[in-house]
Amino acid sequence: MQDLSSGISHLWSYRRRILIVAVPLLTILFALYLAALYVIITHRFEGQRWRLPSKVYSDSVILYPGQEINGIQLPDRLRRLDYRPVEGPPQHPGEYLLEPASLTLYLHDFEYPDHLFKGFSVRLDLDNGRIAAIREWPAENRLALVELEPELIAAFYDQAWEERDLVRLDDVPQHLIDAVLAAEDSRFYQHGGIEPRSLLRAAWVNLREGAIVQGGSTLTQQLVKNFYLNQSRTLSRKLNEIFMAILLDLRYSKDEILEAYLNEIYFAQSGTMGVYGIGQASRFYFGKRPQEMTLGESALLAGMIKSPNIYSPFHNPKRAAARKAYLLDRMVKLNKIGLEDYRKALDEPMPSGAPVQQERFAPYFVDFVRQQLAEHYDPGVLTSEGFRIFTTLDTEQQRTAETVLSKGLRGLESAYPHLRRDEPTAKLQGILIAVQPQTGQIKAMVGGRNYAVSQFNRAVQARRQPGSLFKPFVYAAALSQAVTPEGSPYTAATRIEDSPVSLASPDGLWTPQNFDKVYHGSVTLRTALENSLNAATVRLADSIGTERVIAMAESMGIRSPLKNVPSLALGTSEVVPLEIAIAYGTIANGGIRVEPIAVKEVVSSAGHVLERRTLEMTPALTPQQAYLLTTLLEGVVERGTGRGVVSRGFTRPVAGKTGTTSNDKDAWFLGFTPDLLGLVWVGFDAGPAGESSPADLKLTGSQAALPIWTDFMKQATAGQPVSRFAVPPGIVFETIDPVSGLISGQGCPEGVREAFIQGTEPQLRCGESDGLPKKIYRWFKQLIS
Amino acid sequence: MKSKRKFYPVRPWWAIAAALLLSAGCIPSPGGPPVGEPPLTPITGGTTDSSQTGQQEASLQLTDEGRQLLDEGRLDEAASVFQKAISLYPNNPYAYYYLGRSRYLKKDYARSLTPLRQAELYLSGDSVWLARVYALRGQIDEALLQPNDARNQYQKALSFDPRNAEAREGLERIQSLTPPTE
Repeated sequence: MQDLSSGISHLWSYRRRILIVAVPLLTILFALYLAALYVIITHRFEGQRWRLPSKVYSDSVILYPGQEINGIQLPDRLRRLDYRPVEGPPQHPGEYLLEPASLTLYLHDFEYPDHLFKGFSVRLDLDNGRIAAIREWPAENRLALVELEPELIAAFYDQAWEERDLVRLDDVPQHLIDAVLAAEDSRFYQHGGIEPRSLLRAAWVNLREGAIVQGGSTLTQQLVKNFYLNQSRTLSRKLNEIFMAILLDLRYSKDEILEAYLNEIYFAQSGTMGVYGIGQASRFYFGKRPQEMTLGESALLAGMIKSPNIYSPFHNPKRAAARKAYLLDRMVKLNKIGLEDYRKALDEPMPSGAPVQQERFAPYFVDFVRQQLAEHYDPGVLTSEGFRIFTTLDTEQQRTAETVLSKGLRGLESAYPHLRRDEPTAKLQGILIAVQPQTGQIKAMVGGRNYAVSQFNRAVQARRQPGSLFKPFVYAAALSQAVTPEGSPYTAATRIEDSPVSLASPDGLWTPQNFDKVYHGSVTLRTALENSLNAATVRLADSIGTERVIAMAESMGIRSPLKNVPSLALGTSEVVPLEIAIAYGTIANGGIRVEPIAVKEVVSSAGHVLERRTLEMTPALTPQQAYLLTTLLEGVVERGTGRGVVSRGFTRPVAGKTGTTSNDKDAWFLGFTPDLLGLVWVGFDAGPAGESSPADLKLTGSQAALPIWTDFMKQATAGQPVSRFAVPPGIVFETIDPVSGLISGQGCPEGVREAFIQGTEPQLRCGESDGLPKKIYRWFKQLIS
Repeated sequence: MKSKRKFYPVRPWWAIAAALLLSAGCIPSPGGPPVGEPPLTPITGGTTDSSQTGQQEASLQLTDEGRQLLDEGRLDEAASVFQKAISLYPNNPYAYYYLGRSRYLKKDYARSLTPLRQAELYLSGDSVWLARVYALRGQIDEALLQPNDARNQYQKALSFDPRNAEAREGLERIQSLTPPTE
């Protein structure tokens, strides 16, 4: 007995000792656990709460009288900008009324880089689809223009695009707060972060079901779950949630917690973009800021928190309406609203027409923007700081470019069976770039056939031989820097020899041939360029010196290294497509080279302009030299290798050049109007890592690239004013006999009108002898000029 | 190959005098556009294309907004608006002129000259505005310590518009600095 009593006593003593050690140890461990939770809570809550993706915007669109609304696809633009049609006069931002003779539009507010635009109502009077006048409405003041805000085209994010428009609690109307609390946690301001009764009820249900089916979560717990934890239904996660909710409630005020909650909650998925927080949700569902929302809208929005898909007014309007009614009823019971408010809110119409899904758009252009910004910003910054990046992209031109290129490549494969490939990565490729020559702004960029298959942006990353597209640099060098062997300046009427030629090159004697192997003898510069004559161009380059040609190409915008070899004149040195577009832009822009611009401004989330890319202009040619080149390239389209442009129905003033490489691998067309320059390339990629050369295309630029270019330009310029190439001072026109290169006279009445830089025009007429007095007169005139 | 560009040596006396005048406020130092800017009129007469007229007017309206910003000293914002005006109607000479002016006012002298070349190109025939372009070029040349170029530009401006005050004052400044010939 004594032994037994001694044994029990020993056991107790042993247990007591364990308890003495274990209780403090567990207490310490628990305290450490709580301390760790506390650190986690405060670290995130007091630091940067959300990683805000940077948003990329297109260029804005300016509307002015005279514009064709269908030409600029106005109805489509309005739809993409979340403008909604209404039956009566627009009363709220984002509404419009389209009538046969007018379009009344209530413009959205928009935060531009330098100012906040406050939306107002305007009326566009329409006359046969054109804007006849723009007026403030109903004030009737006439306006010269109206700016439609830029479109959101992409975002730079880390793993998923969580789009938020952060709001402060002060900016949230009380009825929205009441609705959210009525929906999710009516005792929010009374409890200490958790509701023990709800937790016990949930625990009992879970016990009965044998699984965790109920959470009994307060609003604070929901915030903790979304903000710090994951969505798994485990006991350990639930315990963490409970303790963190208590700590959060102890550490922060109820208003701070509520504000964080309102910015955190998930509301919808729109394509690749997730809609989070009431700021973004109010825009998404109602096109408004939260402070502009009505009671009915607040109830609808609050009702969606429980299950955004089930109670979405776009997907399940009936269930959404029922949930809204339930919530309004609950708000009455909680004495938050009166019966009058209840009835009015119940009668409010449901939002109609889901906003346009945010899909991947202009991916090659967006990659180019990201690549440009990566030079100045850390990638982590771009995906978390919520920058707004304003670009030059014209969304309508981009859409046209994508459609036209895709259709054009399919058409080529259909017409030429040798171009067909089964393997997606081996398929025929193409690019299209559209640039405004005067500003260098990239309006559209398609860097390949299918971004999903290949993200390689051929517009800016590929190096390809330009072929005959390079020839204008030879003529530019001749017209601007060189004199003929006879000592007179080159003009479009200067005669050069188009006959077989052999030149020494590093690989031995090089004998280029004309494309059709036909030689034309003595031809003018104009004829040589219009018909893309290889032999004449090589002779010209040899005469003026390839160093000069290289210097000219570089000053006009070519950055790729150019080989000083005779074949350079025929475009055998590889270049980046965007470079060549910019270099031609120099011709279109009166001889001034502009740097390409894709990004206009970068604005911080606080609204500060961090970066502004400005127009960088460098003179490369005189306006007169640029004009001469323009007229030569106009001739290419009127009579030469580019005449398919006109026959395909593009009738605006246009200059351009075809390009076909001698190795049959690349087909180009580059053309420009006074306002827009477009470049199209078609060809096959080189093998992986360049281990094999691209497959042969065996098509010319006019066969493969020109049709795509023409289709694009016809659509991209539709509805835009028709501009003509400006003739700079110092240009004179003479009618020239194409055979002799002299001014047309009695002996040769047929002639072509030719532009000359004043003082370089021919002095002799056909059939007139060049006597000594005339020679002296010409010498004297040249001396003066 | 030797460059054919003229070379204007900066003589010490000129640099010192220019610095003194700048500090005394005699050379119009950047700070705002001249008082009494003239109205902007449509650029090319006789167009019957209503869309082009509307485009021009919208571009001129933007240019006017840019002038207001310039007047308020908001130079970067003004430059953005001028670029927008150019983008809308690339033959708008006033937008190029004021873009050059905004860069001059920012003391970005080297980059202010090229827009003026474009302004000159699209202004052909408007002697009053051409005079303004040449007068501004003169001011830029002065700031770049190129007195001979500045003198030429002021003289050219006065040949187009003898009433151009900026050119007249600029020329007087240059002449007052010219050292007595030996």
